Amino acid sequence: MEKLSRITPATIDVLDALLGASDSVWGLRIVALTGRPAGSVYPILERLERAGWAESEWEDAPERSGPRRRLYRLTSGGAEAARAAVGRAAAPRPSFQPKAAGA
Amino acid sequence: MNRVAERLVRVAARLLPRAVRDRYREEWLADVAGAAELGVSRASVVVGALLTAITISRVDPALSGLTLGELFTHRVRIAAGLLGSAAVLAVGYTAYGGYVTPFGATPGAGALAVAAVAVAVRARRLGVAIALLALPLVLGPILIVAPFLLVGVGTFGAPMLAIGLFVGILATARGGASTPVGARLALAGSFGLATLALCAVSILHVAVWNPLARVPDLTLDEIYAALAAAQEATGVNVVLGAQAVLAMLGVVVLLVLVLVPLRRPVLGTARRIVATGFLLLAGTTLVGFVAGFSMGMGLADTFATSGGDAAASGPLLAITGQLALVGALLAATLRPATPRAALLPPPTGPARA
Repeated sequence: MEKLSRITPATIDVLDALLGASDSVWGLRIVALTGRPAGSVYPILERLERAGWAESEWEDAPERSGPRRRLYRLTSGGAEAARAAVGRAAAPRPSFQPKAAGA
Repeated sequence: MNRVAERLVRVAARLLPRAVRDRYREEWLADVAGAAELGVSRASVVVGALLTAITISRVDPALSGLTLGELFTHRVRIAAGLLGSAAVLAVGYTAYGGYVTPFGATPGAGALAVAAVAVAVRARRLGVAIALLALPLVLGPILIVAPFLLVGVGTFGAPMLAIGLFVGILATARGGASTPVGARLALAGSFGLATLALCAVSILHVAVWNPLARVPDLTLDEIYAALAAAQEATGVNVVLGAQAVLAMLGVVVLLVLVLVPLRRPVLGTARRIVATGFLLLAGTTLVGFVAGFSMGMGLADTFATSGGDAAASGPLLAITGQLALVGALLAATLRPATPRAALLPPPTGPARA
């Protein structure tokens, strides 16, 4: 599994949505869950999958004709890294304390 | 809207590396079909597909099916073809002597050079370095040297140059499925006819149209009588005859090379035939330019006028020659890379889109 070069707020939202799902999630549903545009979510999913954080498979729904939906889930290593990344993003940032004059 | 969105995501999928094209096309088509169900706009799906197509890695061997070395070679070949084409368009007006544009070069040269840099930039750091080095290092000397080189190679160097170009084109235009013999002959025959037609136009330009345009007050007979009296352009018939023989010889060689050796002919693929056919056309116009040189000098000396082209057929022939050379370069270099199956992920089953 590769380390992600940058983890943006949109990436955190996608990871959060994947962590919150009990099963594999349709890619477009992640767009709806995060409220982020597909223009953000699709490239993030592609990057997560290529880095080994997530994996995907076709939906097995023979009752639905036409093109198949792609379902995403975190890999075991990805889930661990995602929890850490989401935790880091949620932690309050230490505020800057200017030194008192003459200290 | 649904159909427009479907078409656009299909276009986006076509921009992807071949290994993942089918997968994303089906995925995005399913998203377009189900967008209303989740309250997501189809336009958002289209934008997502296009952005993914633009930003997806082209370097990852699992997506491209190529090793980094193969990918690098592939991109440098394409960049070289585009840069070479840009150089041909840039220097052509001087090399062929047929015309001058306001900027001294055809606008297409700039566009092709930009495209070449864009392709090279996609090869990341090394590509960027090569593109930046290639522009001044390749274009600069060519711009300065090419006109002198073409005049300098003369009678002895020209065949060597032609053979070198031919071998280079053959070496670059590799790969592709072999073409059936009938199609090979039809393709080569078309280029052969075009070559003979171009040669005829070139001879008419030198012997008839340009003299009449250069000395409009005289008839053709009067022009030739004056040339003979001044003992100028005396060998023009021999030169133009040789030009016709050369063109016919070129066509015969083209037709022979699509047939022999029987098992694996030298020009066995459409790509090689097209590249060689364009090279033959380019050579025909260049030979025409050289063949018209003594006639131009004769007209200049006899009638105290310019030796350059006066008839519109001059620039037309020059542009045709340049475009043919660009056609040969692009046919040889702009070919898809062949991915290695071993590097690609296993297939995900038959697509339903």
